[in-house]
Amino acid sequence: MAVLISERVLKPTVSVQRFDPQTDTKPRFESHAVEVAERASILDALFALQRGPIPDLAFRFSCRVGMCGSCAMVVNGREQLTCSTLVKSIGPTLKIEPLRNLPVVRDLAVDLAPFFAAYQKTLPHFTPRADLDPKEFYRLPHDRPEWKALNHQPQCIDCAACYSGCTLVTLRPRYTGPMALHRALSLIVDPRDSRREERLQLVSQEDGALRCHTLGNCHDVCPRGISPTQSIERIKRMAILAPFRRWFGRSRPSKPAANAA
Amino acid sequence: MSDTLTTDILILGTGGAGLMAALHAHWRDPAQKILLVSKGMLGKSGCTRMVQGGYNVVLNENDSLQAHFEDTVRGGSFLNDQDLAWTLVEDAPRIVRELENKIGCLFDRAPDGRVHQKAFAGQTFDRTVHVGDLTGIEIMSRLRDQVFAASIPCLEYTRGIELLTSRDGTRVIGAVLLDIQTGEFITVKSKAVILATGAGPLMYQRSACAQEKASDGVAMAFRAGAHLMDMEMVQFHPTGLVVPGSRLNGALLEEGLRGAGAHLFNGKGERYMTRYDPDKMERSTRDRVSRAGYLEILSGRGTENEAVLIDVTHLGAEFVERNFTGMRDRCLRIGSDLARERVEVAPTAHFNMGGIRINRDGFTNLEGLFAAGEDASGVHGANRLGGNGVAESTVYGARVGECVAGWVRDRPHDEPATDQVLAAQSAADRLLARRGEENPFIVRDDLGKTMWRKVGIVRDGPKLAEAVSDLRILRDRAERLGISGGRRFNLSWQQALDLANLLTAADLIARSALTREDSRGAHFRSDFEQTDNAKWLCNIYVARDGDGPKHWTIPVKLDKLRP
Ligand SMILES: Cc1cc2nc3c(=O)[nH]c(=O)nc-3n(C[C@H](O)[C@H](O)[C@H](O)COP(=O)(O)OP(=O)(O)OC[C@H]3O[C@@H](n4cnc5c(N)ncnc54)[C@H](O)[C@@H]3O)c2cc1C
Ligand code: SF4
Ligand code: FES
Repeated sequence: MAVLISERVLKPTVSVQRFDPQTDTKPRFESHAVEVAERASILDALFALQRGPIPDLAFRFSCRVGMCGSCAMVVNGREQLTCSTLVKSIGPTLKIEPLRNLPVVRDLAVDLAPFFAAYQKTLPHFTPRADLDPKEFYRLPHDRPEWKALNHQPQCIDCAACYSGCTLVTLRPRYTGPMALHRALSLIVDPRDSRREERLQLVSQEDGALRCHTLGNCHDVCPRGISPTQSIERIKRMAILAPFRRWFGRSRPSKPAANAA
Repeated sequence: MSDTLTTDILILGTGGAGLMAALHAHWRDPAQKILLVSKGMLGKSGCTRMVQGGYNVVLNENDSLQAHFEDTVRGGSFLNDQDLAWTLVEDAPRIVRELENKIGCLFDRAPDGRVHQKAFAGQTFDRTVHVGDLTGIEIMSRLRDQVFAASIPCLEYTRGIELLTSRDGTRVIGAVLLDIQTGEFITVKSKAVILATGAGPLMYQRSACAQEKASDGVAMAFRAGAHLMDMEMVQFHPTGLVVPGSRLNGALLEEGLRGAGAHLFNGKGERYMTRYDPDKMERSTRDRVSRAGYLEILSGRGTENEAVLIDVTHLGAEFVERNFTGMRDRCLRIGSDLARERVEVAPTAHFNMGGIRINRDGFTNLEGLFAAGEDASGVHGANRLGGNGVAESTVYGARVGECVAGWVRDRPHDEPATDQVLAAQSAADRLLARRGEENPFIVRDDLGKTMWRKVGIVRDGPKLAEAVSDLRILRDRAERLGISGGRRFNLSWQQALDLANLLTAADLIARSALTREDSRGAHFRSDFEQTDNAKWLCNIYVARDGDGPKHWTIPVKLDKLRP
């Protein structure tokens, strides 16, 4: 627990990384005691620094309700979605660093370009099946295998916490990473999409799903409670079964008849 | 000086309106060069990403376009541009199917496999499609994926700071941008500029919106000479969280809770809506429910945190956990279990019904300038229905994109005047160089308080007049800011730029509110409590005249539905 001053105020010591790769040779830390409300988030503590001792601190945020995935940082050694984690859940001292495995733009803000570049290699966009009726909503009754096969994990907010926490990304920067693979699965099992097999092949390569050593760091750090590992395991199983399924002609979903309203 | 880029279509803002505009322009004519500009990250900024409840659309054979239209216009107290409102309901079914079948959103299904439509307050039919209670994540990330696939370039963490106009001021020919990360300016020459920066009532102390928004588009358009309309119409959402001392303060609990049957209690345990709208109770429109909550708190019947209480426990913990996972998580984070206890809420500034005057295709009064989404006005009249916002941004984004792609063909580029470019740059540079005694974050807080108290949920003439003069003082204080740090990724410099635009928009809101001497929708005057259709069934327009605003009114055209 953080030091409780009165019932409603905490006074944690917050130490933040300062670094401008254009002018500094290495990062340094700047530390201040700030006053925040009892239910303040880590992001609130950064706003307190911004109002007072470090007005030009660089960090990212937008929604402040855990939906945009802009505000992930490493706090006391672990990835956190800073808008959605209370200061008091961390303790009286906070050491805040930018995400790992990504270049720093300034201070606590990283450049997500490599993360999204890896994502873009997985055919991440939806491509409708030619026989999908554009005027209807594809029928997906909950008691049918097609529904059950969907990726029913919580929605990913592309915050890159998993990318930062993944040891394999550190060791092999070419590795696609947990988020991209997890999201690829969502389209691979989407019966409305036409490029499922192509995508499955693309992501079950050496730099894709096969690279994962099921360490599960991604799940540990995911603020949405997603287990990318589980999705990656499914991709691996599907990749092994794909040739057989092709053989038995089962890789196509049920007939367009299912599409009637 | 700075980089100059040339494009055919420049789109400021990457919410639902900006991305739909980009995709539709690209699909209509891939030969046109499009440049997207986002103040945050592509797909991760703006309020569309934050859409919770869902999207209103007529899909069921027992529903009708007429019913959706009438809900929209009655909800808007007949101030809507009926042509724009009709276009919204008419296009929404096509656009939502496009989101599902072309862009790839997978909206929730009912157990029988059909798309699920849930209940929203203020509507006569359950017509809101959704993805759980965090719909915007799905819509924005799938739109982003399609933008990637179309290879449409986007400058992220870059903000428009000023529009560039032709010498005679009648045409918009580009914009000056500021790259927030490098602190460098970029000049863009473009045949068309689409404003999709999502306005946003962030000049209020409690606001639900995405934090980077600052009414930039509306302020830039005003300075360039665009006609604005209904600026006094600011929507307050009745159920914003109450978390003193945190930015989470004012964040939303979604509309669907009231749709599903939530009750609202005051601090004394009374279901106070019986006094304000005994028929519709909590499912009344946002303006009424907000005003009720505000008045309860004001008259000392709130909780000790100046809140009222939302209660969904009677719906069953399991129901709440399943259908409102996101909302429950949000409350759990601050130590309240929505499924099992009452949670403190209070009204929060949510949405600008007013903004830039457009027609059905997003044209403004300035040639070359277009607008869509929350930057625009007219669709919602005096009050927006929950679920009509994301419908507006996607429908009108699509329309303007489609139209502009044709409009720019065979048009020449115009050369921006160097003095205009330099003036915009030095105005921004002057702010960075300020070494005064005022802290930009504190001036911003004080602006929030002034607007909340004097231009808020219950208004009156004297308070509004006071607000106008308070805003003058705040503008003076903003002249004396102290900004430290350099150009690169300096958020206090950005705050100073935000503040300038918020002050402009705040002033327009306060003056329009002073002009409107009746109560209608979100605008409530305690000195003119009645809705006066004889005198005030008209839109208040405002445009720049020299250095100040000039107001005029035009009667609403009631060609489809009359009060
Ligand atoms: C919490 C919340 C919940 C909501 N829930 C619902 C709902 O359930 N249903 C519904 O219908 N509506 C809902 N709305 C309303 C809905 O989000 C808006 O009506 C709609 O998304 C606005 O879309 P837009 O594209 O106009 O703006 P936004 O989506 O807000 O996008 C604005 C974009 O402009 C960028 N920008 C801002 N300034 C600049 C600048 N100077 N230069 C360049 N870019 C700039 C921003 O970064 C952002 O990318 C909700 C709103 C909020 C805040
Ligand atoms: S899987 Fe989880 S940690 Fe990874 S990007 Fe998505 S939300 Fe973030
Ligand atoms: S600010 Fe959007 S997830 Fe934290």
